[in-house]
Amino acid sequence: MTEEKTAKEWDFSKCNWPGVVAGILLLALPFTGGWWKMHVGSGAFEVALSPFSTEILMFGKMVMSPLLFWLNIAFTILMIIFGILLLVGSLAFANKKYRVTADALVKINSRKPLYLIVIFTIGLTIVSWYMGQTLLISGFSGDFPVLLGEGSVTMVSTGFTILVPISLGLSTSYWIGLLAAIIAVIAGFYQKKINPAEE
Amino acid sequence: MERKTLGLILAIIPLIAVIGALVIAFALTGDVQTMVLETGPDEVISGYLTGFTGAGGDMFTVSGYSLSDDRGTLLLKVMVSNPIDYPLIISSMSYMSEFNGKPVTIKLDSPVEVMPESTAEIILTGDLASLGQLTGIPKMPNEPNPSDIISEVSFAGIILKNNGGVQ
Repeated sequence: MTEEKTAKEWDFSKCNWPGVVAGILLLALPFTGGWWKMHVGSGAFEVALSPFSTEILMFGKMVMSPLLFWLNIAFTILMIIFGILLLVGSLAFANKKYRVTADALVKINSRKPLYLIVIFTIGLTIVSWYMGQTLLISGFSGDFPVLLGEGSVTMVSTGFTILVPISLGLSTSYWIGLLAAIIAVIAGFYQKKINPAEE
Repeated sequence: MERKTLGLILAIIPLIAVIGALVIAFALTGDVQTMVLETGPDEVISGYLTGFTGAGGDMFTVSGYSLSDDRGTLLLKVMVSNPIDYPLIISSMSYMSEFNGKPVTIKLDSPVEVMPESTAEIILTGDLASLGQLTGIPKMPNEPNPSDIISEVSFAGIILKNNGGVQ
């Protein structure tokens, strides 16, 4: 009897399905690897960066950035929290008893992943521009791409011309992140559609 | 929990997390530069460049000229030392010299890889076919001046072109 009542209380057809999909994608996102990759030469300097992980290799040796390491941990924890809350909110909407809380959880968390992607992209644009400027100040000349693309910088020193090819690009993980963020935003709008009374 | 309170908590959590990460990173390193990156890429590349320019003419040591058995090719043995801790690929190397009073281009036929911080012998060749039949004792060229050698070497995809100005 109680089981029947519980089953009636949970009507999963009323779930916020875009929210469920976005929640699952957000939970997986911290483990998909670097979003932005930089190659200087072929193995001279390799960077794979995302809000959740940093890998910097200089001539095959790992270089540590304590700041990025701790920021990565912070963002990983945050993304897992937001993923769980979005998932729980989206699923809990199936039960009338939890609808108010579920509605709040989905609406509060639905835009945060997109904010993270936008901030990350703007941050990377600034960082890659700054890297180019740093090289120019160090005596290099040439074309250092900003955010995306290929280029090369050169330096002339005591009879040597040093030519450094550079390639910057966004990986599949970045686009998965963007997709998850867009689905999360859609989940927010979908929430308004399925629960207009809460407006 | 009220929706506004929940919203406020969830807005503050990221801020606390980011500030916490900054504080921990700074507390563990003690200064901003080390906190961001222990070593900058420009410093490393400059370090390698200094390795090359520091080695200067000592990178290439000429062992001596000889002629091939058919006397159609001039051979020059050169010892190349790699001053850095990364494999060095010599893509090209050439210079102009005089053999029997006639100009001849002496060059590396195919790329050579020199292991990190080691020395390898490479052979440069000069084609003497166009100079005609050799008779008597040929007059060998002088040892090349490092500043006359035009070369292209690379390590880890970084290309170094020596345009003949190494001192």
